[in-house]
Amino acid sequence: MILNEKELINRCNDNDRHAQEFLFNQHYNDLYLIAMRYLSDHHDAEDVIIQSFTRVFKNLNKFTYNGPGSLGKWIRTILINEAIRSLKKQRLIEFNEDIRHLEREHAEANGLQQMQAAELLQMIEKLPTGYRTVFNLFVVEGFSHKEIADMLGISENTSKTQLKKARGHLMKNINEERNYGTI
Amino acid sequence: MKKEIMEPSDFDKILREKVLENHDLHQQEMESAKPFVWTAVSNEIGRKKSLNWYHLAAAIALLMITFSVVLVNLQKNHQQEIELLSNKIDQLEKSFVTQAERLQSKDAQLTSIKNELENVEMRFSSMDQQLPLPVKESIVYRTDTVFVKQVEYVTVVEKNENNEALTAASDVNENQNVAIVQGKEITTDDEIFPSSRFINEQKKSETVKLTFSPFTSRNN
Repeated sequence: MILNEKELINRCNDNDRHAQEFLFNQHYNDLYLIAMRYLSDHHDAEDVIIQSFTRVFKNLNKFTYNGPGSLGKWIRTILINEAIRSLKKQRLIEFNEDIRHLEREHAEANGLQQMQAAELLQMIEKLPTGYRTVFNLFVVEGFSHKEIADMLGISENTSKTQLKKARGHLMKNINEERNYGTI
Repeated sequence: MKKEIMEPSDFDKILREKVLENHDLHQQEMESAKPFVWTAVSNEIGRKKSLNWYHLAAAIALLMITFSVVLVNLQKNHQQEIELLSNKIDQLEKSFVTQAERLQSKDAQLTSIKNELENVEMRFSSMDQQLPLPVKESIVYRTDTVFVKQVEYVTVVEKNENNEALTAASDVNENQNVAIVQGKEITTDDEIFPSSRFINEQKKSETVKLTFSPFTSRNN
């Protein structure tokens, strides 16, 4: 079944179960990986995906189509919001603002390029929740510090600090992994 | 080999590219959880929406508004009915006054007629006294039937011609000459008045002869 996004949306709105399953299969893998980046737990990721898709199908009639890719972006936004809601609900986000012990790490461009994506993702998933969340929102999703501060209910400075710490943590891990020298 | 130090922005850029690359991390868990996740999603979207508190509040508000509208309408109808009734009562009261006046006039007419009637009666009663009573001899009024038990005693004195000669000389035993005959007893079953029988009886009684001896007398 090959459908364009508009037709798919219309069919899903008409409660066509096959179209809904098609949309689910189309976005499931991406959403699972995003959920894992934020939550780093399979059960939590599954729960968030269930809630997100439920929200998607219930609110799809309110969605305005703005060209190819707009639906995927809308679904990803819903999943990220659900993931943050889940983290807040479980009180897993802790933002350590103490930067006195922040080590200045510098990763090498060659070493980073040679690393596998899966290895890097595993490193990101192992970051503390606060670092991981801000890193994902800023680096991967491209939100500004102001937007992140609004989303998480923190100050912009906290967001910046969390990002610096996340970078430092990742660089350290990458350097340790590749056994390259540090400054 | 020269070590190339990266800027944070470059680091972020490389990391972003790596993260968005295709990879098979979590592939196994992802595939195994897929049927369960889809079943859960399809169950959730197939489930009917449960009522939230604001739905209930809206329903209660609607109910209250409906009830209040119904109550207001009822009250309006009631007031209209009361107004109609009061109007009708007013009309009835007005008609009652006129009817009472009519009744009074009728009463007055009635008393005047009564007075006239009394006058006429008085006049006729005085005239009535002056008129002679009509004689109706041929008419026998049978008033009542009276039964009387009457015992009739008839005294019979037998004329003894032989003894007439002896009367002067000797005492005559009155008891021997005088016999008491019991006459006919009229029982209660006999009709004595006014029937022809009674007349016949009278006739019969006329046949009883009473003869008195000049020398006898009644003791009692």
